[in-house]
Amino acid sequence: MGVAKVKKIELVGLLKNKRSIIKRLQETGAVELIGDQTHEAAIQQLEYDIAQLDFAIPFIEKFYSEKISLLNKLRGNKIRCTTKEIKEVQTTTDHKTITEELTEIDSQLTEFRNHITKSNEEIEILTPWTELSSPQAELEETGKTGIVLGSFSIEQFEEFKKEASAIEKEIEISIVQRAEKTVQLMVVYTKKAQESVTTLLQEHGFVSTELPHKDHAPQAVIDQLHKDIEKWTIQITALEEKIGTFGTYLRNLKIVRDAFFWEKEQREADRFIQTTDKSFSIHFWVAEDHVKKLQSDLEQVTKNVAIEEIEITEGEEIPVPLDNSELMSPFESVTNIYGVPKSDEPDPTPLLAPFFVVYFGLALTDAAYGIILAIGAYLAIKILDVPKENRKLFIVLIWGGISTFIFGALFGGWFGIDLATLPPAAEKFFRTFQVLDSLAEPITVLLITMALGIFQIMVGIGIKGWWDIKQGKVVDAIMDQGTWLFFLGSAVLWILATAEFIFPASMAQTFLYLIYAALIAIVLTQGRAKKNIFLKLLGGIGSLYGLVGYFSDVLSYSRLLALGLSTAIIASVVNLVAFLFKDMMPWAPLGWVVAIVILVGGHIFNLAINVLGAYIHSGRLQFVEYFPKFMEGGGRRFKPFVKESKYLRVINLED
Amino acid sequence: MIGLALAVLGAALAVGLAGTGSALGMGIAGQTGTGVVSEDPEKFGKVLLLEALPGTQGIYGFLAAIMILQKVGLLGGEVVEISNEVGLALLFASLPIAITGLSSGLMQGKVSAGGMGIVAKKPGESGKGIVLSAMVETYAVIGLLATILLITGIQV
Repeated sequence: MGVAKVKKIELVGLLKNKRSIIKRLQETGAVELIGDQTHEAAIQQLEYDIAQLDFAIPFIEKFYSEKISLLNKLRGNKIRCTTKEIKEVQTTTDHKTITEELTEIDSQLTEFRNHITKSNEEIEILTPWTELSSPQAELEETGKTGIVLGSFSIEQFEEFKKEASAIEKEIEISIVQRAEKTVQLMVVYTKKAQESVTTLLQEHGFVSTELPHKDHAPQAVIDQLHKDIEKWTIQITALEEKIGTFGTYLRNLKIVRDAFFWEKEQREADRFIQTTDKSFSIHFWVAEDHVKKLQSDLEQVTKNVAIEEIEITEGEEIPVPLDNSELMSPFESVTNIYGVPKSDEPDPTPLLAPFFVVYFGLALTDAAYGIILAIGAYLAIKILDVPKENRKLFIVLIWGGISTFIFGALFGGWFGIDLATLPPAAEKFFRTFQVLDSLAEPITVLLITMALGIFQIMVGIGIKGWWDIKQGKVVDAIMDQGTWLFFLGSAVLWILATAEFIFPASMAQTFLYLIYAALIAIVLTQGRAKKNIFLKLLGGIGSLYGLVGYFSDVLSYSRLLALGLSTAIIASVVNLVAFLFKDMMPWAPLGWVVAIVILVGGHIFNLAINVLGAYIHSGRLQFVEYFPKFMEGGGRRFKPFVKESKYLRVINLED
Repeated sequence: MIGLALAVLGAALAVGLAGTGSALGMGIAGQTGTGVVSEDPEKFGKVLLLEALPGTQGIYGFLAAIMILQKVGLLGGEVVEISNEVGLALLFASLPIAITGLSSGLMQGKVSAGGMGIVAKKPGESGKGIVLSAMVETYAVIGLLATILLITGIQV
């Protein structure tokens, strides 16, 4: 028996035979496969470098006080650079030497810190023994006597003393030092009484002590340790200062880090690539509208590239990119909270946008707040220089602000001020816009919110019907959505007629017949999937339970009134409190200062919590009340292959 | 004066119970949140947002209290003489927000605390945690609405 000689083999075959060849290789059990070493190694090297840089960058930042302006901080302090600069920095920066040096410094730091911790622990042990004048090592046992150092708690010591008096002749106890709760002792005993002394000590909880550095007297050791700690501390400070000097490399290190990360991602993409001898292929999803642009982009790299659409196999999960017009795309930030629709469902973004904006405004209803919000969100984009892809939320807030301004003006909300208390000219001015006072007529507003609710629910059902018709399911659309729309529509007409609003009361009876007709239609159609005639009827009657769902959906919209009222009332409370404090101050100017501070702080607080509430609740009305009428959601989000950066913001030269 | 005292009790219950709900809820959410922040301090913003959600109940309660106090003239101006019946009515009117504030604040805090897990593991999906937590608030909003309608409806 010996070591078999091994050969390195390259097998070349036709792709179509790949599976069967690999299968046979496995069956023989005779070969060990060699991975694509260079490729794997390159990825590993990149991962290692990234890990090193991820250690080094925060390490330097900890000790390098770079002056970052507040503005830059708010902007996320990203490094702006061009692709050209990234390349240059990558070639000129010796990141390896820097990270190695930092690792070395880090281990030195750890060593010194450990020394200090250990010394401090030793000092703690030694402190109760400072009055022991000779080193513990010198307190040796003699031929006839033994010696032990240790401590008792005070109560136990008293008891021990009593019992020890019985063997007085065999034992000598000398107190070295008393601390707050313990007594430090040196016990000398004759060897023949060793056993009884040891038991006695143990019984009373004696803790024997082995002092560190026992060749020197405790006090001397402590002094030396303090000196050492001081020395190490100085060294640590020096090292930390040294780390700070690396701050000049920080920018370049960050650039290199992100560049490495991109390279790693690119190399990892190889996993998706199939190669033949001279060519390779890769499969990807891309939005239809982007195909042309993609083709021309790729042709700029090389003419030798072709893209071709391949067939989608049935049951394959297709990722869903949201693709909306400039106007609607900001509202994708709302849709994204819920998740994306399935690939065969409509994109709800443009369908929810108008409702969202209206609800947002109704949930705030303060014209002044609306102006502040819209301008604030606009300024935030400008001042913070928000990159285009992150602007969506801010743009939604601008729309929300405009809507809030309109509804605020219509409802007479201006910083929660009671318009009646204003000078007549100002009151007249603000009253010209006002059509409704939500505090005085909450029921009217309640009805408006519910009307909006019914309207949105009907729109939702309508969308589903339209989508079904588009998909060729005309019968389903008429029987499922048509009957319910018919029912809800006649119910609205009936309510209007009973309230003698738009329609005369005499028409109520006619509308009631319409409702009956709709109910009959629902009962007759909703059980159609069942086979048996009775089950069909039963299914139809059961579907009437859907009424309860619509009822609670509509009631849910009443939250808009509550949210709007709470904004108005809290705003007026802020004004009230501010002026109460103003009047309490003994000196008028001081009173004004206090009032202004309360007004500004209070209104900002109110604006902040109510904008949050308005955003979430307007969103919820879409997700919970509206979406289920026409979509299921739960599609897979389109995750593009893209340069993700932690520190960089690449600027194109064209900009 | 019993009438006035009853109205004040109503205001006190609204602030006290709804505030307790918020305090409990924010306490639970905050405790969980500290764990997330200790792992990754950069998530502070999202954690704070989730913790703040169960805080609205307390504000709703305060709002109801202010409305009651304003109704009986305890916020500046003349104190209105109200009958015992009206005082009792105002006390009862405060109950919807007091009770729903207490219960929904506590439960919303629990959902928020759960949402911290989303912030920790899938920060991109934090919005879902926020919406789930806001679902619980619905009942405090409805409670507040009932209280507001009741208070405005009561004639003093």
